[in-house]
Amino acid sequence: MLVGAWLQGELFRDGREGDRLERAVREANSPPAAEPLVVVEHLTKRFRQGGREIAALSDVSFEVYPGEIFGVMGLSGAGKSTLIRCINLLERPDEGRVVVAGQEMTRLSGPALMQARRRIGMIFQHFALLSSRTVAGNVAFPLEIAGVSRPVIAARVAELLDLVGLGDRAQAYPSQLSGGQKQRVGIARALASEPVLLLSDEATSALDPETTVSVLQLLKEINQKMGLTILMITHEMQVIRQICHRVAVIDQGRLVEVGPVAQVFSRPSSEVARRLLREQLQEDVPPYILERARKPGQRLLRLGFLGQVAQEPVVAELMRQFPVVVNVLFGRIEELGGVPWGRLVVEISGDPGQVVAACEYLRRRGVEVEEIEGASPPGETPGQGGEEPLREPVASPPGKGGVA
Amino acid sequence: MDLSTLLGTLTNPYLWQQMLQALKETLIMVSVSLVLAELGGLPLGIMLVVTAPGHLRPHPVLHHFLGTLVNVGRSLPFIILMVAIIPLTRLLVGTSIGTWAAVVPLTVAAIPFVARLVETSLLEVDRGVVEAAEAMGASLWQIITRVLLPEALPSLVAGATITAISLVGYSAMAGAIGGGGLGDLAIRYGYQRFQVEVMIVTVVILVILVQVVQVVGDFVARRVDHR
Repeated sequence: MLVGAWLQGELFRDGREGDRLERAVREANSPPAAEPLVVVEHLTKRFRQGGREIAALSDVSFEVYPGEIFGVMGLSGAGKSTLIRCINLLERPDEGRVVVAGQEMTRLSGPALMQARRRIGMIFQHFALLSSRTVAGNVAFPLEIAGVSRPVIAARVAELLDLVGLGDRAQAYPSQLSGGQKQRVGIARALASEPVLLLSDEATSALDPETTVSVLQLLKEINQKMGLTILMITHEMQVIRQICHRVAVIDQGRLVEVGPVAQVFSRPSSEVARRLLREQLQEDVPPYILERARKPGQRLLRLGFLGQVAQEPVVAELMRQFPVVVNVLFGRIEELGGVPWGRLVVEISGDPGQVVAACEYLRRRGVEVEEIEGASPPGETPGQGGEEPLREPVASPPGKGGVA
Repeated sequence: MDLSTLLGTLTNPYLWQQMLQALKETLIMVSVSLVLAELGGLPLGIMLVVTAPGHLRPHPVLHHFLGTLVNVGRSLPFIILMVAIIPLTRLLVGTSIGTWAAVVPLTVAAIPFVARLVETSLLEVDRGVVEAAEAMGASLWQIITRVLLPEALPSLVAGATITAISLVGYSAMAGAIGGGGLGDLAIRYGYQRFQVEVMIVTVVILVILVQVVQVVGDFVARRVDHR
């Protein structure tokens, strides 16, 4: 069963937001009954660069379960690419084990490795299609090298192109396609050999936002309909947010955090995850709103509603109970690993003591509260990579951030 | 040279007979040595690429050896090479004189040239595509025949065009060992016998020949290019 679907069901069935999340997280963290499909153990990979050794990966361990979409997130240069390339041994790790579907990849070489790779599909940031072959020829490629007979190939190719919505472009060459279409061909090709695992190496990073959404939607459908397990790496938060069930965060070759998307996004425990999230959030909120926070006497709060609380009239109740005025400046609700996630930017005014009490109330209700500061130096555009205007998310221990 | 001399030469059937014969010889030398040079240069170029550091089958010793071999072959002046390999020519063709004898040094000279061109063409193939093929479980042979060569085809055709045109030039020197051909004709009649009009006519034919080779080469390269 999909972790995300389970998580969602569980969140709505259960009572209080606080332990609901805790439980969801705990459950999702403890291995499901199924055997893991991918086991990565103590993976270490070093590169020699100009005489000195650089550890691209150090002691990375995690598991991916059948049917889940597992994301690996990190800044560029964190070792994501090396990690995914170690799964199908495009890169041979120096230490550690990689097991895929019961087969220890790290022990294989030569023809046995070739055979094992045929069970793992892969899609790439720059699509990696053969320019000399038509769309159909590209999809046929993995079948040809596996020695499948021509009639079988033809039937399978037609079926796959229909699946990715390119049935009418079979005879086109990749250069005649748009980026999104190319990636669809890449996906069809990756699925051709009926893999047990799909690796996605920044598959949407070269696409525009709209196309990204449609390609992710396709991957999600494939995951749901075919039960295909997907391991994807990306530096884009929204990719993880849109389709992943669980996420691992890596930083400087180390795995710093792993858990259900809802947990990592709402309560990141690592600095990198917090940083990535902050960047993403700043991109979402229009700069002119952040601008308001600079004006003296303004208190801007960022509120996060995860799970059922996203559908409750919390703000209305707040205003009924406390003599404060809440002015909603920005709002958005979306899904986070299958869990509804609402976000608001509000302006709050009133007696300072009451404001503090109101914030406390929100937190009690399970709302993430974070103050947006207007401390950025004049001239600098807020939301454009300036380290602050945000403080530490309030999910961290009390006293560290938020409204004092 | 006045107009009547020129016309007199141009209407001389003997000259045209010679010209036709020379053209035939040039075409034989160029086409046969081109085919043989590609047959020899392609595998050499492929080996240079796949044994390169970080490529499919890195092998520094072999890579270095092949690279040196190619460089030595390319640094020998053709005229010296032609004389130097006379024993080999005699062994292969039975004689060291004539058009077919000229094919041997032309081929030997062109192989390292082709190898470098092939190497350059294959290195242009997107590494990501090669890697994708590896990830799909393709063997080395499959990657060479189904990825590297087809993906590099337009560039390989362009390289073969360059080789063919270079061979037209080199074949002129084959006259030194009685290889004949247009270049030889131009030298013997035009230069040594001061029949400038013969030289001009031969040169014009050579220009047309080179032009035709280039146009055909470009056309084929475009046809196979889907990038």
